[in-house]
Amino acid sequence: MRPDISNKLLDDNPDAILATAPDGKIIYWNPGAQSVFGYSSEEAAGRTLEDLIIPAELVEEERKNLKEALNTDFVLYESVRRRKDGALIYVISSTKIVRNSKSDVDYILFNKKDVTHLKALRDAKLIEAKFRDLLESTPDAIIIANLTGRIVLSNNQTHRVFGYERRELLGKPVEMLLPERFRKSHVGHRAHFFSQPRARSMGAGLELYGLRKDGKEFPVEISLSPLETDEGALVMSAIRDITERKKAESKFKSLLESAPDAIVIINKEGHIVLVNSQVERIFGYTRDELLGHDVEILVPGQYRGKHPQHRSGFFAEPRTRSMGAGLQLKGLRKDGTEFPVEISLSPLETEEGTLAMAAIRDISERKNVEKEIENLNLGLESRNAELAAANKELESFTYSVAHDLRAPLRHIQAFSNMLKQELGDGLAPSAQENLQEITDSAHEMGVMIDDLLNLAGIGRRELNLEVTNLSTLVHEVLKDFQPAPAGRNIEWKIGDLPHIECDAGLMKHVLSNLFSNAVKYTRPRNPAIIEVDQLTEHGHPVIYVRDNGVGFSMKHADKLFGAFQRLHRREDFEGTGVGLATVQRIIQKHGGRVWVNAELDRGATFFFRLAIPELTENK
Amino acid sequence: MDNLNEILLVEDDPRDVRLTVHVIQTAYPKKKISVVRDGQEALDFIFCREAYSSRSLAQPPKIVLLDLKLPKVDGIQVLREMKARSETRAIPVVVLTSSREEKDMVESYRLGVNSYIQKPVDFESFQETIKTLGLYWLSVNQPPPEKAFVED
Repeated sequence: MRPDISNKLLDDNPDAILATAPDGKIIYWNPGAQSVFGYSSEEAAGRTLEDLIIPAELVEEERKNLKEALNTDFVLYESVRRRKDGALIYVISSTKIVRNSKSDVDYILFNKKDVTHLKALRDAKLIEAKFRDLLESTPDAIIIANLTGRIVLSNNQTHRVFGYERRELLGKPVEMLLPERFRKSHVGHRAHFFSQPRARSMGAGLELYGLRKDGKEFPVEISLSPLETDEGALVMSAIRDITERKKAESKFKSLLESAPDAIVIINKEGHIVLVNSQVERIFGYTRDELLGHDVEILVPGQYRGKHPQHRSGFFAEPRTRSMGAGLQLKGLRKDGTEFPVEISLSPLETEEGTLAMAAIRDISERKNVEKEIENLNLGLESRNAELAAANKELESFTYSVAHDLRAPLRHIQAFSNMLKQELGDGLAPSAQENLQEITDSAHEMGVMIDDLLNLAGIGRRELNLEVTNLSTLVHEVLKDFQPAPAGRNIEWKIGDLPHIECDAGLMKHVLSNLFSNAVKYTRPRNPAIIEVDQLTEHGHPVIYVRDNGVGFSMKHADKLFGAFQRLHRREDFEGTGVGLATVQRIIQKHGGRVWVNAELDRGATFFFRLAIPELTENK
Repeated sequence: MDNLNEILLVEDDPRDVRLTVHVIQTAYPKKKISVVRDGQEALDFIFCREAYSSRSLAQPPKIVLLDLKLPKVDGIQVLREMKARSETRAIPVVVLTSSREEKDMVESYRLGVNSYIQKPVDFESFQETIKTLGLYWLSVNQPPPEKAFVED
C-alpha cells in the first residue's frame, strides 16, 4: 500500500470528514466539508457544529445522538444540516467516538454525506405513489418540494406550463423555475416557511413570475401548503399562470382609463380600490390620495351621513342601476367646491368578492344648458302670450273698424237713395248719373271692406280639416250660380273630382271665387264654357277651373294674386281684385300651390293642389 | 185701446235714427215712434224710471227695435233685463243690428229675443225689410194682452 496516500484520501474525499474535540470545538475540517457545508477550514476551526451547521430546531436531536454515540461509540443517522448560504441539506451522518488508551474521549469523528438529491429522488417515488392521482386531476400546476427545496413531485400541468419533462425537474432545486433575480431571496423564504409552516399565498402583494424552459417569463400566483409525511415536512405549491388574467386586468384598466366618465371602484368596506384618470380630473385628487380611502371623501358633507347606509344597501342587493334616482346628486372636489353629478352603479364580481363600480358624470354643463333652455322657454312662453294678446287685440280692432266703417257707407248709400226717391224724375240725367256714382262708390267700398276682412280673417283662422268630397262641394257652390244671370248661356262641365282633405268652408270660398271670375270673364262668350276637373301631377291630384273667356297675357300673370291687383279695366269688369289674393291665401294655408295658365282672348285655367295627400281617389 | 207708444226704437247713431224713422213713417205714417239713444235710456223708458217716470208699466210699447251697439248699457244687457222681469218679458223685442257676429245672435236668442234682423247694407233692401217687419209685428202678429204684463 502506498504510505503517502492516506492524507490524499482525506483531501480527495467528496464527503465531509471532520473531527471535534470532546468540548465540541472543530479540530479538523476536510475540503469535502467545505464543499458540502460552504465553510473553509479556517472559518470552521475552533467553532462548534451547533454554531455552524446544525439548525436550531435540530440541536436537541443532535445532542441526543451524541449521547448515544458515547454509549455505543458509533451512530449512523440521517438528518438535516444547514450550509453557510443558509440552504438546508439532507446528510447521512456517521459519528464515531475515538478514545485514547485510557478510554477517555480523544476526539469525535464525523463523516457526513450530502444525500439531498438522493433523498429527493427516493422521496419522490414514495410521494408519487401517494399523491400522483390526486395531483393529476387538479387544473393547477402542482409542485411538491422537500425541506431542502428539491422537487419531489410535479404534475402534468407543471410540465405543460413550464415546458419541462418530469425527469428534468425531479430532485432539482425548485429555484430553477424562478427567474434568476428572485432565486437568492427565495432560498431564505423557503427556510422561513418551514419555520412557520401554514397554508398561504406566496408573495402577497408582489408581482411573481415563473421561468419557462425556453427562457420566457410569465406572471404567476402561488399558494403554499405544508405537508407532513413519513418522509418529512414537505411543501406543496399550486402555481397558476395568470397571464390571461393579467391581460384581462390590464385591458380592464385601459378600458377604465379610456372611459369618458369618472370611474370609482370600491369594496364592501367602502374603500376606494381603483380610480381612472377622469376621477383625478374632475375631483382634483391624485390617484394616490384616493386609493384606500373612504369613498365618502368625494361626497359633500350634508349627504355623507346617509351614504354608508346606501352603500350597504347596494351590496345587499347588487344590481346595475342609476344612483339616487330623481335626486340632485353632488360631488365634492378637493378644493371644497361642489358640483352636480349623475351616477350609475354596477356590481363587479371578482375573486376578492363583490365590488361596486360607480360611473360618475359631471353634469354642470348640462345643468347650465337645462337652465338656459328653461329660461328660453319661459321667454318664448311670455312672447307667445304677448303675441296671442296682440292677435286678439287685432282681431277685435279689425272687427270694430269694419263695423264702424260700414255705418257711414250705409248712410251714404241710404241718403243718396232717399235723395233719388225724393227728387225722383225732377232730376236731370247727369245729376242722376252723379248720384248713382256716389251710390256705386259707397257700394264698392263696402265690398272692399268685406273682402279685406275676409282676407284678414282667413289668415287668422285655424284650418278645420276633414276628408271632403269635392264633387259635392262643387255642386253646392254651383247652386249660388243658378240660374245663370239674365242673357247668359253658361255651360258647366264638371268632371270626376276626388276626395281631398281640406277645410270645407274655405274650399267653398276658393271655388266660389274661381267660378265667379270664370263667369265674369266669359261674359262676352256664348256659350261660356267653364270646366272643373282634375289631373294628376307627380301622383297628386291637381284641380283646375278652365274658362273660354277673355283671358290675359301671361306677361302680367305674376301680379295676379296680389291684393287689389287687376288686369282688366274697371269699366269692363267689376271687382276689387281681392278675390284671387284670398284664394291664394287659403291654398297656401293648406300648404298647397295655386297657379294660372292663360292666353289673351282664349281664356284662362286656374290650377291648385293641396299639400296634404288625398286619402282616396274619386270614389 | 190703441197704444200710443207703439214702437220704441233704441238706436244711438243719429243717421240710422233718421233713416229708420223716415222709412217707418213712410210705410206706417200712423204709428208713433219713440226713440232712445242709449241702453240706460232704454231701460229707463221700459221700466218707467227717471225721465220716464210718467210712463206706466201697464202700457208697454208694442214692439222694441233694439240695436246692440249702444253706449252706457249695451243692447244685450237691455234685452237681458227686459226678459228677466215678468212685467216686461212679454214685450216683443226685435234686434235690428249691423253686427254679423254669431255670438251676438247666440246670446240674443238664449236671452229669448223674439226676432233678430241684420240691417241690410243696401238701402232699398232696408226699406223692404222694415216694411216686412212692420207688416208682421204690427198687423199679422197678435200682440200680448194686458194680463201678460202682470207682475209675478
